[in-house]
Amino acid sequence: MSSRSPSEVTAPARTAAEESQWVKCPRCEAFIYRKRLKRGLGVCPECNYHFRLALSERLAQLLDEDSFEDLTGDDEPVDVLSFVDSKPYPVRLEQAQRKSGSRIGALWGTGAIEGSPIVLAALDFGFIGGSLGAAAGNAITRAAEHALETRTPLLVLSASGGARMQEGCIALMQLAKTSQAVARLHEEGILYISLLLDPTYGGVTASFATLGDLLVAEPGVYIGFAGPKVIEQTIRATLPEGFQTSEFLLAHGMLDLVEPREGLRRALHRALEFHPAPGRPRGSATPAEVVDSLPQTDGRAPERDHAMLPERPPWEIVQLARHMERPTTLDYAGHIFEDFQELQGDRLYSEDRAIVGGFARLGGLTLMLIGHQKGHTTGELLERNFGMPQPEGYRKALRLMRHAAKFGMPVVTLVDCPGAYPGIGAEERGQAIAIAQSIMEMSRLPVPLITIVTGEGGSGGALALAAADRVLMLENAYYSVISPEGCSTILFGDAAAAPRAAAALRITARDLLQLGIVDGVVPEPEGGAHADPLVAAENVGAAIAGGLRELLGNDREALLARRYDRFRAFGDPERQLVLPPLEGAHEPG
Amino acid sequence: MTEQPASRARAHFQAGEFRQSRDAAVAALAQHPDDPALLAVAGSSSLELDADDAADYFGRLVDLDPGDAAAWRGLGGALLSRGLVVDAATAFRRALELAPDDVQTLIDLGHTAFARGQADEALAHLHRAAQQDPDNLGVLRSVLEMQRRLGRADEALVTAREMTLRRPGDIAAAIDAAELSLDLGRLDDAADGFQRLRAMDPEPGHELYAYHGLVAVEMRRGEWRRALDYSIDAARADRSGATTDLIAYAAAQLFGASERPTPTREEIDQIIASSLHEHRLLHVEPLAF
Repeated sequence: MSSRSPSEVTAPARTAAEESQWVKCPRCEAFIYRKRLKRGLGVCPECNYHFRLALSERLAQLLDEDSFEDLTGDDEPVDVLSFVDSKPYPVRLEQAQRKSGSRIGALWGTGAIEGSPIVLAALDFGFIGGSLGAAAGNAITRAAEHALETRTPLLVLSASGGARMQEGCIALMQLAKTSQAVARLHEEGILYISLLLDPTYGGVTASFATLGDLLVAEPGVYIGFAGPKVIEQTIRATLPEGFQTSEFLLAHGMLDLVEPREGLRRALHRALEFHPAPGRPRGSATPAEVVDSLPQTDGRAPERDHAMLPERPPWEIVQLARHMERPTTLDYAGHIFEDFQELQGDRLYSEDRAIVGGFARLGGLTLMLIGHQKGHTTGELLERNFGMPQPEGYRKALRLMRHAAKFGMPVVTLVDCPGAYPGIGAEERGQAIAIAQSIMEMSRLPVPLITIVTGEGGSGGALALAAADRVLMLENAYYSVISPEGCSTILFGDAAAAPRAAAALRITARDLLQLGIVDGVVPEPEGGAHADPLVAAENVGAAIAGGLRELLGNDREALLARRYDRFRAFGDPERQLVLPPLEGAHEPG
Repeated sequence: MTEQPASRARAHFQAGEFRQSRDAAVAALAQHPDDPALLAVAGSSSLELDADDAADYFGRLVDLDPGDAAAWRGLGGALLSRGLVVDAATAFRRALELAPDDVQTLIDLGHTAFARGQADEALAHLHRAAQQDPDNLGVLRSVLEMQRRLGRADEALVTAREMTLRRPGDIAAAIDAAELSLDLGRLDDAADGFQRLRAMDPEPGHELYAYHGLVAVEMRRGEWRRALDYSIDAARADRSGATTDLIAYAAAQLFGASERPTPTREEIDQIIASSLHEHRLLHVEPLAF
């Protein structure tokens, strides 16, 4: 006899972890109703702490429903060393298998994110701390090999304490095994996204987990090589707050993106969309089809004849170029492109906010947009170091340009830089070398390159992003070997002679078009770009689209040969135009 | 006649097939909008699927039969999953009036009371739930955490001991019992607790935490020789070298200061506290799902 009411619904059998419907947040200690937590994707509604997820739940959150096909096969971990600590290794394996429900602590297979196919591999932190043994190494390697064979993007989810001690040097060799598999993907231009989960350490970070084309992490994830306690005890110092968190790594240039869990699936999908795989509609489009897909805008085309440009006092142009309201790279990114995903970091030392870059979509084309970034307020200018990059900014730009070359994306750079930052640290970390490398590698980058000087074109700090196939300038931008003030002080003996130096240096778009330094001048609205940023952006957009139409059909060799010739011509006695003297230029003082 | 679709929807639900369960129930509700069994399955499966309409189904159910305790409980859960704690508490309270011994309602009401700052009411509900369902260690864990947060270490220790009795292999409970004994100065109990932990924790390297607990006990007792011995034992299991400071401190107490700078007692207490905290996290921190 049952006394149940009709509304009594017997729940399905719950796992031990679900014994309680209430979970305590480890950070803020609030009790959270489990279903509310689940509704929030495992993020504490009180303090935003991202709970660790079981691998199955992680896959459910990221992948399209029922899309995952597990190809892990029948691999079993092997006790190659017959290892025994307080227990034989096989006993530990058995315990881990029982506890986690996983046979090897890793899996791989195929799936899709919002319809975009991927090959996926993942480490299960619930299995001996996600440690990397031979079987897990096999899973990662097989996934990479399958991605290569099918030319499908690879996504790897890592959460691990490092190489598995119980497998000795065989575990250590998994670093090499997985890294070489990833290297093949890099050679073949197959996208590899690494999602670093909490925590990822040791041999896993020192191999495949940090070798992704894109490195993505959730907020608050701990990522490092050596553990914090080991470091603290070695250096005998207290570590800074937030050390080795994903935010710390982002600030130090080691990650592209820190994305809260609720946006992770969307962010991964966007990354996949920016890299259409061969065989998919955009990926198989011919250059002509891509050109056809570029938007027709109302923007005015760049002016190619210097005589058609208005004459304006150079010093007045310098002031307009420096105007605080003048549109910045991020302003243009928002107005011109259908989508823009910023990527951060040089993967060496730091994230330099004076240069921004990322994927941008224009019609059916993904391109890499890179530019100096200033700001419209004092706070923004300080945050962006007034658009003066450190070596890390140039190294980030170079990293993004290499990424673009690998995936056949054109590169568009927007230059607005008073000069590379003159500082002790910048010198210590090789400012000159960073600029030189950027100029040199741009000269051989096998994709179309378009530069638009949108504001200040300050010497090497500007040219580091401007060794391009097409170099354009906004009407009220300037481009110079030195700032007018600097030149004035050195050569005219008086900083107040800056207006005169500005004229003498021939830094205006009109002069530089005549000299062939720039190929065209992008018109600005009446009063300057800041007077009507939308019109300015339309004109810049039209210039970019026009430049791409001219360049996209070119084969690689022709592109590089013309680029070489473009810069080879400067100062060539046979080809270099000489400007007539300015009126009154020979009068002293 | 709705028994068949309701049974089918229930069967899917019990098999964990929430989408099919919901689809079957919702389809049948189109024909029989006031069928309590269908509304209950639709509400329950919607709740599992994080769907917004779960509260609607349970709301209709309590409108149809305000004396249905399960429906009120379901409504409370649906409201809670949307973060509506106060409304949820009202629904749970109604459910409890109708079914005073229902364990899940007591648990949910206890937690909502705690969230609203009504600690004594919360603990009373949870204690009753623990009596009704002695095997449910999750309730006692909540009680213990609440007592800790309220600074009621004595009560928390009683709870921790009860947990270790009910489930002797529960490492988290053993950690709590040992730590709370230490906090309360019950040093013999604390020493026993950490020794037991050392023996029962199967994870490689975890004996370190138990040794750190034992060092803390001996320092409290002023037994520097034993504190030093345990520190040396701990150092064997310590990959990070954090124990070096413990050795230095205990040695300095035993043999006098050396040339090496000796850490302060405050620093030592901090090292041990963070070690014990880490141990607790390793065993207690839940996976969300």
